[in-house]
Amino acid sequence: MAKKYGMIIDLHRCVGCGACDLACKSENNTPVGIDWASHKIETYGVFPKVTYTHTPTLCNHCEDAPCVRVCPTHAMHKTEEGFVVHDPSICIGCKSCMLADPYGVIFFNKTDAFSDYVSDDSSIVKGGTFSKKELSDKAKAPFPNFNAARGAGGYEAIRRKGTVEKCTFCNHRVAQGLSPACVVACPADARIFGDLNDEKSQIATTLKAHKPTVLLPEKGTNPKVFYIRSYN
Amino acid sequence: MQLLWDVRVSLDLFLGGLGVGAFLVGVILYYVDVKNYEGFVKKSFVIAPLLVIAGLLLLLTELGRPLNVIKTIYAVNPTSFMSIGIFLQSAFVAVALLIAFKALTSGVSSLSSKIIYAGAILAGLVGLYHGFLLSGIAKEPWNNAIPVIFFISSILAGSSLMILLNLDSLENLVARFKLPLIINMILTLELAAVFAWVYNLALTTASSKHAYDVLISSFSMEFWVLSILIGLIAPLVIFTLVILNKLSLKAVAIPTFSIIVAGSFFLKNLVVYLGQAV
Ligand code: SF4
Ligand code: SF4
Repeated sequence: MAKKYGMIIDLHRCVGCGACDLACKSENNTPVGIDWASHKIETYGVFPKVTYTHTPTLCNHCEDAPCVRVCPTHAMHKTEEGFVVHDPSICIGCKSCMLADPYGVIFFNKTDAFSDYVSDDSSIVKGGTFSKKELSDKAKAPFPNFNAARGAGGYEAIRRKGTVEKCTFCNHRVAQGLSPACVVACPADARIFGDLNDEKSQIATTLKAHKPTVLLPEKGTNPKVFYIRSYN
Repeated sequence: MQLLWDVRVSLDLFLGGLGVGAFLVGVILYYVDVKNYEGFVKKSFVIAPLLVIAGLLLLLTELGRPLNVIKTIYAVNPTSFMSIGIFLQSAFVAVALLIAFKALTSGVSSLSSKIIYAGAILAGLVGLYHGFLLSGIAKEPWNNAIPVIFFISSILAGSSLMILLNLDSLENLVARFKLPLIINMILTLELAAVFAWVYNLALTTASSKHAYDVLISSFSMEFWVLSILIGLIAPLVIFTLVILNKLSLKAVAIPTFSIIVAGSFFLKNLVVYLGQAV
């Protein structure tokens, strides 16, 4: 049977440290304002009975993905393994996918990301501190902590302006037998990634042992990111 | 509100709708009595593709990678209304440009009625597509009432524009077609469709009720005053007074047909923005 990847986020284990958010940024070369992995925080109730929740968020790689349905060019498409991924080479930048996605996890590149590392040669102390351009020149990379591996499989390592981008479940890492960067970075082992079609996999057995929830079930998107237990 | 589609999308839907409406009114007059309305029909056929093209050019400036549009020829997604719409609009523009060229060079009466028929079908489909572009995305206010609302709005605005450009035919149109009565019927139909849409939003689900709340709180001026009162109710009242012989159509034609055109823009712009505000 074909593989179908999904993810569980154990909200009871999650400590809300944001390591997943940061690991994603450095793995996928995303600039400020474009956060493939993020989280939402809610505080509610009336003192002294107040509740706080921290919910990590990312693309749900929905089974019935509205972003895929509306994309006029199939730039946003589904792979056989169930990844919802994007092909910038045929994207027209119409943003229909962003409008259709009820989770707000697709981002538009208004500008060329990290272009300041090509052009900004101003330094705080002239002759004393590095400018962005010098840093990038010395690192021989578009910006100092650039991850060239993100460019595997023909995907743009840094997406140019005019197209959208979103979480790919780190399909470039999964292709090498690795887990997504957010899963590896989590200090609390709150994320489980794996093949939902493999009954013996940790993700399948964990899903069976708990009552998982998904975000916005009423939208009928059949998300493949599941949440178990609760933060408190 | 994260505004992903700005006024350029509204203008595309508005100008495209004007073009479709102008073309269809030209088609009707062509089949009814081409000899009598040759000038009117010619203007309709020439203006229609220009308006649609103007809207499409504005839309191109909204895209992040406009040059990639050429790839939509082979990268087709049948579940995407935008993908289908690109083909429909290209076909309509091609046929309408051909009709315009022939009308200008050899005269309207030399046009084959088959090509006009094909143009009319494509115009109708493009008119419906404008609404389906939004309803296909399925945001709460962009529901299935939108294609109907947009289509009627396009017919109203397109025919009003063409009447404004052919004021010398006004008397003839009134005598022959009872124009104020026909326009009032279409205005009433549009009002009914808009109220069905609002009613649906107000009463269906929690998220549609939220959309209704946003409509009446943040967009009340654009909706009640600009789109409903000025764009639909005022012309309805004016034409009723004309039918009752309390007003002369000649005296009120320019402002009344103008507010119908403007109302179409306000309504479409409101719908585009509302969908993104919820
Ligand atoms: S979460 Fe949004 S972007 Fe991801 S597959 Fe679902 S609809 Fe598409
Ligand atoms: S922005 Fe690109 S990926 Fe999104 S719907 Fe448009 S063409 Fe498809």
